[in-house]
Amino acid sequence: MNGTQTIDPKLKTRRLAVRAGLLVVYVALMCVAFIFGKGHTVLLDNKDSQDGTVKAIESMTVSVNGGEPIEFMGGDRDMAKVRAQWHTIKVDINGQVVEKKFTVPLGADMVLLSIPKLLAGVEPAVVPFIPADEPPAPEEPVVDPSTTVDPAAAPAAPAAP
Amino acid sequence: MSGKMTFGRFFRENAVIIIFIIITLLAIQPSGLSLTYIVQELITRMGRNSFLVLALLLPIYAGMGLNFGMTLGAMAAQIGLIFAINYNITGTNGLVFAVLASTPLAIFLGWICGIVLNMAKGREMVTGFILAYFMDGVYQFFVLYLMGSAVPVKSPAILLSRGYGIRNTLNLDAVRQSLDNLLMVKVGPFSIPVAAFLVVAALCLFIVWFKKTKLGQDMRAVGHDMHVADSSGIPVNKTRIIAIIISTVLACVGQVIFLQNMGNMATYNAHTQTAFFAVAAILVGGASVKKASLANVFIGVVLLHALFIVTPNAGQKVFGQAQIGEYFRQFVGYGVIALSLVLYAWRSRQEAEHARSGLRQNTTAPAAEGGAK
Repeated sequence: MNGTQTIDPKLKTRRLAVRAGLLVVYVALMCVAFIFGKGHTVLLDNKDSQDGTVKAIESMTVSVNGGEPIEFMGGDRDMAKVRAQWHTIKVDINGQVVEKKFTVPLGADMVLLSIPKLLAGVEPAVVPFIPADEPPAPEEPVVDPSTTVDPAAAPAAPAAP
Repeated sequence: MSGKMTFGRFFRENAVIIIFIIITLLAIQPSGLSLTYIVQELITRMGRNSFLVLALLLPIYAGMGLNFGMTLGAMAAQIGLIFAINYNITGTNGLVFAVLASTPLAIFLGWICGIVLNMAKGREMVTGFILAYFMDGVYQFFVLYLMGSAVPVKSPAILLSRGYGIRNTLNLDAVRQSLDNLLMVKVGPFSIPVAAFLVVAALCLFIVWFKKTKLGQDMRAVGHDMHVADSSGIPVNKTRIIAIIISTVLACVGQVIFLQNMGNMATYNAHTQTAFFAVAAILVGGASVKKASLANVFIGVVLLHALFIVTPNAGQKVFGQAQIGEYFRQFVGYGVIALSLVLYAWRSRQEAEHARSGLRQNTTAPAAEGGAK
């Protein structure tokens, strides 16, 4: 009450343990949100492998995680947006359906998935993809630190109530 | 006579609500908007804004007035969202991540705000208002210079081309309406974001429960009379700081809910009007600086946003310019805050006068009695 009251050491330890536990749960929740919410772009590739050992599939439809089927011809490449690391791909080659699982590395924003390699069981079927010459995205006028332009004064999205 | 007095008192006590209802009703017809459209917009805006307005309740209970410092929570939310977008965390997970990442910052900012407001007892609102301006500078420094240089931000989609600083407008497509669409129920022509309403309902339950707890009772005691609360052993300063921290954290969550519904974020000014519109809403709902309830929140959100929905169109139809309606929106927002504060000050003065005259009567009466004896 007056601030000089001593707290039972047992109670103190228990309080500390509860607080530490809550902190762990908090961090764990953040990790779960991060891992299960992280979005990745999967480039679905139907091309011959560079060494020529695996050939592209002539015609097929591909569905990632039960999504809308995408039609592929030999040499085609398409894109799918996925969330989390573990995914299922369903490949339909002339009525013959094959289902495979693949994992996207957590740190990779964009990966290249070679469907012929995945079906043939050749590793690695999934490789991180870094666009070579990514054009800079259009942006609003840059606020130059040497000027006195106020960023708040620059055109921005309406802050509708 | 007595009936006239009752009507007068009723009008004085509900002047803001009555004025709003009259203006809104007058504006509906010239706006040309269908009732279905207005109701749908109201449903959407209730899901979007109610949480932010609810964040104002606890400081009012603690006698700290309208927490203009809630802007600090909104800034924390925006930093959390920037991180979620940077790591490309999508859907509701992105929202959870943004809230979890920004909560420690909101607690810290709320703590600072609480300490500052304790130093300015009796002038909390204007202090909170100016504190928000000050922290806006700190926020801009952090987001414009430190992000991308001292704070690792890699996504080229959000970084300025010079390599540091965040773009003026962020696309929140990754989390856009993820809470609203989590449980969207169609009732007739209306789409109801049930998940957003459940979150708001959970906060309402929390507030009702919190008021009954020891801390909640302490807060009300502090709000009622600080000196009496202090004399009865309630740690006044600590209680006030806790009220502001909770309000700031709730404002942080509210801003995340607000921005996920909007789908984009004006990095440098999305937070600036958060407190302004929330305060306007709760005042329109009939709350005052000293007294507010859950009902005030919802009445206020409905009335203020009903007016916001109809005025741009009404302005266009009546004056030939939609911009007039937009100006009207700002004018009404500030006007209602001013009107509420003036009415509150006037009422307080009247009450004080009334109390003084009562005291005068009490002090003169015994003497008169004594004289008679």
